[in-house]
Amino acid sequence: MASPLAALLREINETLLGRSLVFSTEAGASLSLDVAGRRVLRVTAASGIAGAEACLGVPALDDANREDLAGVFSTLVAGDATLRVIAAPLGRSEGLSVGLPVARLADHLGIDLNDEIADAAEAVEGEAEAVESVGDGAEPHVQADPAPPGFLPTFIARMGDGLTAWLIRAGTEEQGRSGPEEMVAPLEDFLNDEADALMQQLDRMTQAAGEPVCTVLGNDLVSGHSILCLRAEGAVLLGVVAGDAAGKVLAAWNAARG
Amino acid sequence: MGVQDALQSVAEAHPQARVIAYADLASRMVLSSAGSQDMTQEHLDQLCADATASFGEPMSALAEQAFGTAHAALVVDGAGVKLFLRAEAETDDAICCICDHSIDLAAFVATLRSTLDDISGNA
Repeated sequence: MASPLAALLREINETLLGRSLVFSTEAGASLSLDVAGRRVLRVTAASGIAGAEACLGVPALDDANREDLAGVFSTLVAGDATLRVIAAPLGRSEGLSVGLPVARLADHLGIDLNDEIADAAEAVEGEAEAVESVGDGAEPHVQADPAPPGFLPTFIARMGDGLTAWLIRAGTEEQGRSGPEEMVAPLEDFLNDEADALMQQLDRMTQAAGEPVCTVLGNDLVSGHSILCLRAEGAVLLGVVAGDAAGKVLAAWNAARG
Repeated sequence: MGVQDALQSVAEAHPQARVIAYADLASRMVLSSAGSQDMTQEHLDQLCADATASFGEPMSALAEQAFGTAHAALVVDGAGVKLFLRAEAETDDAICCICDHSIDLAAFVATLRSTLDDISGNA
């Protein structure tokens, strides 16, 4: 059976998108963290945990806070076999590459996250006293899904006429296209030739593998045409945007994120 | 107005922009920065690397085919919005920004373009 401390670290390790995680014990202690990209960005609240003040108020945790944060985690779960977690989207997205990677905390605490992940399937039943008691909470547990269902359709609908031509591919399978053929055909040719290189370029642009990422290249992003590439839900949308690409793309992204 | 003052002025006008940095993409070096987010040298180096990746292959080749050299790039993910503008004449001169998703991006781009033209023209 995984320890509550290991389960806590694993929960953070499984959180790619920005989330506010609130861990609480039956003894009444609680700890609120902003987490993204398998990193603890900051401690936003703590109750009933001695020493938590060392981490509270630190705007962006880093390696210098590792020992303090490891101590906070250990104190939270000390003597308590039941740990609940509630996750919610971050109220304000920030952090990017800042934060303390959970892998370093795991190393500091002598916990092998890979072993914990490998053991997860067989541990589910026995772990009911640890993080798997999530469902007991009043609020639903929000998993760090790569993208909400319908992300791409919502994005395309919100772009409206601003998306002049587009093509969606999942692997080698085309999932949709729209627009004048003379504009779609070059997109198709590009994906035929450069799909792997394009995925590598997207990987270089985002710190959180597996989460949606959108990039736009244009002369100025406010007039003329721009090229858009959006990866989400295991598919790639490649398109041509007319006019105010900056404003339209961000509005569509925010709408699709919900 | 100096570079630092210009960046600071933009940061104050657009508080959703957490980082505004003036960089030389050729040397991948941030020359000056402003904004509310604390950035270590590692973070600034990463921001330059992100800018270089955004203007890199193969997307840049498709853009070149469609409308010519790209002078602006936008990257949106769950962590925020990254915006990169290159100067028209000196394409290694760039402004690199990290913003919240709530920013008025159209207005911000216009402000940044004007600021970059001033900075790069006077550099």
